[in-house]
Amino acid sequence: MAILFGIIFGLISAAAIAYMIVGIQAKKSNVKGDSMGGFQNFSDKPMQYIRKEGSRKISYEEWLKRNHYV
Amino acid sequence: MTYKCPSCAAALYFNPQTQLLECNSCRNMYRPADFVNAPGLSYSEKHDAPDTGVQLQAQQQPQMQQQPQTQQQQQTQPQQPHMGMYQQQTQQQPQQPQNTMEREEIQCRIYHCNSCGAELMVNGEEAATFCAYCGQPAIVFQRIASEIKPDYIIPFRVSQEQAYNIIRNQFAQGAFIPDELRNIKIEKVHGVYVPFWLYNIHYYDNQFLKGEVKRGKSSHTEYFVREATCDFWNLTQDASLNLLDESSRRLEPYDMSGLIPFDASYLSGFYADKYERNARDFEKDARMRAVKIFNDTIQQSIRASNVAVMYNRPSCEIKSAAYAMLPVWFFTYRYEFQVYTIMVNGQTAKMVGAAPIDKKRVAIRFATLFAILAVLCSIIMSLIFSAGLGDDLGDFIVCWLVGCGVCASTGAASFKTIRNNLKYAQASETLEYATNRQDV
Repeated sequence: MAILFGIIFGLISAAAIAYMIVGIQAKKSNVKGDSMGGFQNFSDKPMQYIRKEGSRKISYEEWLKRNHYV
Repeated sequence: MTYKCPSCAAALYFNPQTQLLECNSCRNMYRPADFVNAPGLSYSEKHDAPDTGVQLQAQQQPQMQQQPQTQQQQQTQPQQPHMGMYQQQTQQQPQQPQNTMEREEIQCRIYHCNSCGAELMVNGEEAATFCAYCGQPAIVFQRIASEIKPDYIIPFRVSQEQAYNIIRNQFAQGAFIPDELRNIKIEKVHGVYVPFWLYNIHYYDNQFLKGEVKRGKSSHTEYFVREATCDFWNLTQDASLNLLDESSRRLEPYDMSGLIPFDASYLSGFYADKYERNARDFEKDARMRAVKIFNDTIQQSIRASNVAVMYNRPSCEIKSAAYAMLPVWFFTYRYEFQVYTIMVNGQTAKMVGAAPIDKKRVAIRFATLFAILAVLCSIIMSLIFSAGLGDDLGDFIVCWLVGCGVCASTGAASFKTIRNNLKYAQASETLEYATNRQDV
């Protein structure tokens, strides 16, 4: 039973991995120039952050009050 | 207008490799700046001089209903304002809508080539082309007269041969390129200066965002604040309505340090178009682009998934807009009765395009990989199940499903990218833009 499950899971895994590999190889082979210019191409300075906060529980109302939007 | 060799009066061509104007007859070479600054001729003199032998004469079609205009009538007609500096634009009068009849009638103008005297047909937007009879390059000075003269140009740095070699190498090495295309036969080649508006934008935003953060096995929603400013310099927006924006953006990035003040001599030997709408008409597209780039950069600074902006207060100020001509090589090839277009950035040699997939090769590769991986994965999975998972069976199946899902979606995304790029390569708009020109 374990071997049967192993074969079934193995075949499905193999199909998914093979599909991914072939897709990536085909894209690399047949498509050129898929990217566009980004931030670094149109700005000679990095983003200037005035405020950068995260991972702390700031509520929406508190943020509105702080920025005088209410 | 044809730039002629001072030694033998043959036509001069701009060579991207040497960055000089070259004569194919006597092999003399000239710097563009030295040649244009020849004594006795200024820009306006070349345009206005009645019969200097260097001016193209515009001749209207016989079926036009309008009478030829006098010079006074031309001066009183509203001119399309040049958007060299935004501050100047705000002081000018609003642009008047063009007469519909006149717009239809200028779709095709006839000029006399001053080299051989032949009638030269030029489409509505061309600023430089070639004479169909003698093959001499012709610059349509009326299209680059002082009110619509470009501010900047990036001259071609990549020659036609170099661009062709890049394409040929890519096609020869591609694993899934059909055999018929490995030794690709190019149908048409055109080097075109594409008109662009370059925007300088000051952007500010104060964003309140939320995202999913994983802590151990669980994830919960957290909130983030990002307040930032940035300045975009030379944000490109192609000023041609016929060339797809998606196609022109894929040619980026251009090295803007290569921008130089405009000089018509660089157009010699290439095609060129003038802008079809002024900078104000593309403002909305430029703003949307700035918004997208800004938001993408902000979201990259947040270590969370499913990041969404809940509230923001953006401010986008367009400081100035400049009109520039940027170089692009267009190549077309045919495969199974379908024509494809490949573009090559004329400065950086970046190739943009897609080739059709050889399905047989893909199937063989898939079958081979599947056979090898099936044996490996089956052995590994059998060993895992034989060892017994117990209570962890559920977690294992979930992880396995996620893994297979990620692999399958990655493969699907890759094939979708190929289909999208093939769609752009086959686009009739790009093909028409590239080929609807006078062939040499």
